[in-house]
Amino acid sequence: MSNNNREGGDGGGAIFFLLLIIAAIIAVILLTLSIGAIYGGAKAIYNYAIAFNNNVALEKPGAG
Amino acid sequence: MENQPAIKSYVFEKGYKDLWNTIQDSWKANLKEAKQHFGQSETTVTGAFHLGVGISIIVFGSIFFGMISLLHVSLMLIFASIIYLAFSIIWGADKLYRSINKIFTACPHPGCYHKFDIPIYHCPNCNSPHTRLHPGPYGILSRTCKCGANLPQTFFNGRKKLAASCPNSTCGLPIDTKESRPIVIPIIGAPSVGKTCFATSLVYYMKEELGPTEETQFEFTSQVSSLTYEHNLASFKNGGAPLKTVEAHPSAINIFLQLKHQKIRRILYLFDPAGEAYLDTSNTQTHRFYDYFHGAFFLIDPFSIPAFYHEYAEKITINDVKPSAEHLEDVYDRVIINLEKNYGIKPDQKIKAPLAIVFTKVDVADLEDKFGETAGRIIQESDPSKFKSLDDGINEACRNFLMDYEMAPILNKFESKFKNFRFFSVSSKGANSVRIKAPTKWLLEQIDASFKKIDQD
Repeated sequence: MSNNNREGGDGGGAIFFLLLIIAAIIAVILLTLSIGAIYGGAKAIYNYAIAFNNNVALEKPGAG
Repeated sequence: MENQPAIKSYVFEKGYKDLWNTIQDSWKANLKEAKQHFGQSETTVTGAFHLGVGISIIVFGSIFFGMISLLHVSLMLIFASIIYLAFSIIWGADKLYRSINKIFTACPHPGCYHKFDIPIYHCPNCNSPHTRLHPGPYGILSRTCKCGANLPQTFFNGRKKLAASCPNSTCGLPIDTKESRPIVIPIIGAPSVGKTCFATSLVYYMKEELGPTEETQFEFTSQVSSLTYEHNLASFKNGGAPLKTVEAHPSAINIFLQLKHQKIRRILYLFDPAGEAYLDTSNTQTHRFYDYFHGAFFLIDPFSIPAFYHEYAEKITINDVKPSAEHLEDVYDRVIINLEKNYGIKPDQKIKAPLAIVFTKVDVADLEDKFGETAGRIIQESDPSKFKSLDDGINEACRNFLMDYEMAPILNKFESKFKNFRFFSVSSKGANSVRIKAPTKWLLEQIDASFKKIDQD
């Protein structure tokens, strides 16, 4: 019967740590993208609203 | 389309400008903000943050901008389509209403006589002329004049109440038709045949005998028509006759006439040009009412017939009778030449408009025995199954009169050129006229079947 669990020393722990780091990086990236999407989208909506308000006005009689 | 002094509907012009400007301004604002953030990007944490924000605005901002723009365009197109459909339906209904009810505008003013769909309407506030006051780019049911006044644009919301004028640029005079259905009737005849006497007597019959009944409404459209009539009628009351007409291009005598059961008011146009107008075809080619006339009176002075005049020359007082010197066939030929040359009637084409051929001066000498009541009764009693009424008898008597006095050619001309004509004999003396009712009633009934209900005995 082999006893592979005790061979290789602390290699499993290193891989787990690496996986954590990668997951953290992915999480940060996703969080950044989400924040970016929300911010970029909100900004676009806000700019469109401002432009709409500035442009859409009925011509008043006698204004030429 | 000709520009109107009114504000265009939002979805015909400004809406699209606003849409484009909104899209442009929004895009520029996004780019500007992104550039600001890119300008602050450095190799620091803050700089990286600004870089990220700039990228977010460009990438995600553009996606959201595209979606919102598409939504705005779609909503605009849907709204515009609804407006276009609504105005097309109302415009079509307005046009159909006028077509079904045969409503058009005819200018009654001398020398113009042009025909139009609708007149120029004027703003009640600033008097600006609106040449196309109907549903369109300036509004569906109403439009806003540049002065701010609201103008109705259809037959059912009050357009006809606005002041109107002739669209012909060389005329431009006021028109009072109120979008009524025109009945255009010229009175044709040589000089001294009695056209003005006949016209005055005809109007008297309509005003004093037809008008006062509960079944009929009678109204002059303008003071000009009313004063002309009153002036001519006064001549009869003073024992004389109306003055000779001198205008080759007369104003129409305009009368609003409406029977109780008629939904649309009629406007009668009676044209009484000077007899001299019929002495030369160049005078009548400007009588544009022949382009759209509905029927006509053709007046015959029996004393203009040579054979008859020679027989009666010593029995009559020339100054009292004032016989017409012009040969009636010549007058007839000139009218037909004018119609064929200038108004699209082909030489072999029969004219559909009814023609009431009226012998005048039946009160002179014994003309009642020739083609008046006496002659008519004799014929009626000779064959009651064929001649059912006195009018039938008089019609036949007039025909016989023409045959007896060598005027068969003119009778043949009437038969070859007109699908529908009938003879009458009258004495036109205003209130003391004889048998004015018969040709008037007949012609109106032939033109407009709803007049068959008037004055039923």
